[in-house]
Amino acid sequence: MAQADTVLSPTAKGWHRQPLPVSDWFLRLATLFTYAYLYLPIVVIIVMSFHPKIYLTFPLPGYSLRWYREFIQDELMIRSLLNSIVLGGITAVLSAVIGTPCALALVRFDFPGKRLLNSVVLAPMIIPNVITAIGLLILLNAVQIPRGSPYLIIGHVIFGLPYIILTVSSQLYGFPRELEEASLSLGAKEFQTFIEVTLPLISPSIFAGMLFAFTISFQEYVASQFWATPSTYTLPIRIYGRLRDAITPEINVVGVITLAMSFGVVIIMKVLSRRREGGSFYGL
Amino acid sequence: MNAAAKLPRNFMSWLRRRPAMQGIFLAAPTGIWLFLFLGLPLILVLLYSFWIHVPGELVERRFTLENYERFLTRPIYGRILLRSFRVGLETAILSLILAYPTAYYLAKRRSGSTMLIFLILVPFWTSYLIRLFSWMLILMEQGVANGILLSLGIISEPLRLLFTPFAVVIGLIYSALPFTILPIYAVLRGIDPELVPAAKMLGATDFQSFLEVTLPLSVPGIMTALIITFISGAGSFLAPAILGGKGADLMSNVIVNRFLEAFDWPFGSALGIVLLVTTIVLLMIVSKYVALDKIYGPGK
Amino acid sequence: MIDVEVRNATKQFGKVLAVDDVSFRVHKGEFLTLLGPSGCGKTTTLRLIAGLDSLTSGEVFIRQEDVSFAPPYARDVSLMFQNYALFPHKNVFDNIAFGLKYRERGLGKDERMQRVQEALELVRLPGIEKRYPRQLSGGQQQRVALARALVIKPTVLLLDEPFSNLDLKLREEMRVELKQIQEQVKITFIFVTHDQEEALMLSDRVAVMEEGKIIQLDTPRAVYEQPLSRFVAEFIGQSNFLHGKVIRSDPSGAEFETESGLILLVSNDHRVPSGSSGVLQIRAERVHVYSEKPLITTGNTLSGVIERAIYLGISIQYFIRLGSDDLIMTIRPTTGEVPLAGGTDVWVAFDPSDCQLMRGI
Repeated sequence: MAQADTVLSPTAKGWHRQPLPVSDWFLRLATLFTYAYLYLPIVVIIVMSFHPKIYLTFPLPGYSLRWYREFIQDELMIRSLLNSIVLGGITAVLSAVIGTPCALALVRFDFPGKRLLNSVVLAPMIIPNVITAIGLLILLNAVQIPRGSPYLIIGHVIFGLPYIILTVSSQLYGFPRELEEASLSLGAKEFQTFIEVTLPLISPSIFAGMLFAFTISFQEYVASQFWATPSTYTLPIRIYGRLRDAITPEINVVGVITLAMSFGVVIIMKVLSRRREGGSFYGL
Repeated sequence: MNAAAKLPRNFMSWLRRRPAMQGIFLAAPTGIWLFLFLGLPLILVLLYSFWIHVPGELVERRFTLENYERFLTRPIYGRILLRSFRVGLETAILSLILAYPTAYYLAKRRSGSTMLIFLILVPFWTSYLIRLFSWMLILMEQGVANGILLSLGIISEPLRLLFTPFAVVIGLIYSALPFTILPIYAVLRGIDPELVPAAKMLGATDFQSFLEVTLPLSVPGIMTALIITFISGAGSFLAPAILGGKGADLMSNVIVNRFLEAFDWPFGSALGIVLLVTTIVLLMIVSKYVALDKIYGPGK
Repeated sequence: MIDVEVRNATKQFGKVLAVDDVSFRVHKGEFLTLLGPSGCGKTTTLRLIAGLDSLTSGEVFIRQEDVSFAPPYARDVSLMFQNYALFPHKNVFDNIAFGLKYRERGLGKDERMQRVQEALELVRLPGIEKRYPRQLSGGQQQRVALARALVIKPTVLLLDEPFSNLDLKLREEMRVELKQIQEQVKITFIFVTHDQEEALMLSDRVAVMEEGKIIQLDTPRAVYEQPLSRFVAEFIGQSNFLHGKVIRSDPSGAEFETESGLILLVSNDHRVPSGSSGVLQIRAERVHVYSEKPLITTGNTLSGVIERAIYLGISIQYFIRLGSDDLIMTIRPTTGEVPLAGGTDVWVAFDPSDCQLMRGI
């Protein structure tokens, strides 16, 4: 499309030419379409949460807070929401505690097995969740641990680890080593240097990684359905269970609640990314 | 303070001169975790896939090739595997077509795109299941899409959109889009901004300099995007389960079904191994051309 | 008293020999500069003294104590980094007090405050304790870094190209100030730079390094006037080099015949024997230029034509083609008069004592 235009445009001052209006418009339109595509479902959820009827139709026949009231009284749903929040929190903390030293090792040190570890660390992102799920199910079942929290915590940490390791190592790659050297030569020992200099400076990316881990855990459904028991149902499992019966409008409200939470997370990330000096991860 | 130098060589000073040991110590928690809970289980999955399923009990530990035979002899499973790859490929290519112009526009904007890039990522942070549910509301018979099309007079009868292969791909592209745009955007941003003016100085038109300079240099980003979206598409469970209806099942759906409904763990394991091995083989073929750690590594 | 002694220090990174059997001693209160091009091993030598890199072989002593295997925090040295390495998450006070906190644990709060204040006064930046590094200019950051390094009163202060990130004007100011501060605190300084001017002006002694070795270690004047090798002569100042051989040698001087057939009178401090081939170095600023043949021609006087004249403001550089076809470069201070133009016939003259004979290449 752009080529046709260049043929028509004046040829003499080729390098003076501005970007062509038509190709420019095409780009803008495509971008607009992308954003519409991305945000349409979010808008729909918010609008539909005010639907007054049990059968969701569009356009809406009116507006009501009926499903918000329904949600507040839905103990099972709220229990699952709390389960998910607690599980996400535990996942984030454990992933950070386990993954941060690993990021340090991968960026700072050479050791036997490093190359292997480098790819193994990314494996949970590549291997379909369903496979990770059946593996852990078979293992823990074999050692006769009943399903529930242990499965969920162990498994979600597997999913959270790559995110912590990637965010922390991306900052460590650009980390000014001379700050640590300055600290050492000013008399602080290795561990004191880590606490005084390294940790405060990489803490934004640890925290960012924790938010990733939390979000991944909070959204995870495929593997969790293998691991959870009714008392440990996470929010996605509860929602999916309801969806199987019928489209219940209450899910829209749950959607709005989680959206509000996610926006909170996103805003924290945005603030953090300003404070992080090193690399960023997926634009955040 | 100089006394520290004279102290007997304690553990710390022993460790200090052995960086490899320090690295191993630091990496150990992650290494052990991933070995115990991911590596070892995968071996168990492999073992299970060679054992016999006995209804009522989970498994009988006797070697058999029956599970793989079943996969190979019943055409339905081959079809599902192929469908998984086809859906993965469709997702990857359609996302790319949608993402490239957007990434290009964002990368070339003079006034910077930090906020716009940020907005691309926001949906990722919201619940995937909820977003798929929203697509149900949009695509169902009395949903948003049909409502708009009907009121505009474009159609007179509601279209059947939900529970179609089209709906599955819509849902998959939706979740893949941010991860397609970002790597391409990162690569485009990294291209020396003077290269295109240089090409134009040498007589190339806008479109020619795009074909000669920008496009070839953005190939790494394109490959990264294709691989990520292909893998997530081919291994997906939720989009086919929610938007696809009957006959849209991919490998993951069948594995879930075998495990949680038929309680046939050995056959489910065999299917898992098939999915894993084919994914890894495909990855290895591609990784000859692209470094994997760059794909999943930090974007810009 | 010897503050620092480095004995046969060697550092190998993989296959690269960064520091190759380096030995030297630094006296108390001395200002020693390690000078050399990038990659010559000067920074690595500094880091070996600081304990930031470990020796492959050799020893390092600080005040007669063997610290070869001691970690950085157990060595009584402090280091000033090229980009200052101020802790961005700590304010100026906490940056400067950092070393006191770990090196002088017994120090009371009041004392600590007083020491920080003294250090800030020393670098003429009182009253900025509460500010953060990013709120300071490059020059201020540099001073804070100096204060942080000095406040712990180390035996030796190591400085790794501390001025390379400053603009020219500020750099010149800071050099003068650094010298004053060093005279005031009387601490031993080991300074690393690739800037010959900086080395000559600041140092008591200069160690010129090349490919991991110290080529020459002497006072600035000796390094300049009697370079031991062509490398040193080329690295510091500007010189002409003529190849040839010694045809007569005795204690009073020597005669040198260039490959082009010129016969020049030269001083012979290094006692190069007759018959040996070598290189003759003539400093550019010691070559005089006359538009007419000078009346007194005791030294070396040769005729030639100006091939090119380059005006530099403070000086002018002439490239003069001699009758023998050798090209001689000279630097003359500018005067109010119009400089000589290209194509002018001229006479060049230089004293035998400004000609240094070097053996080998």
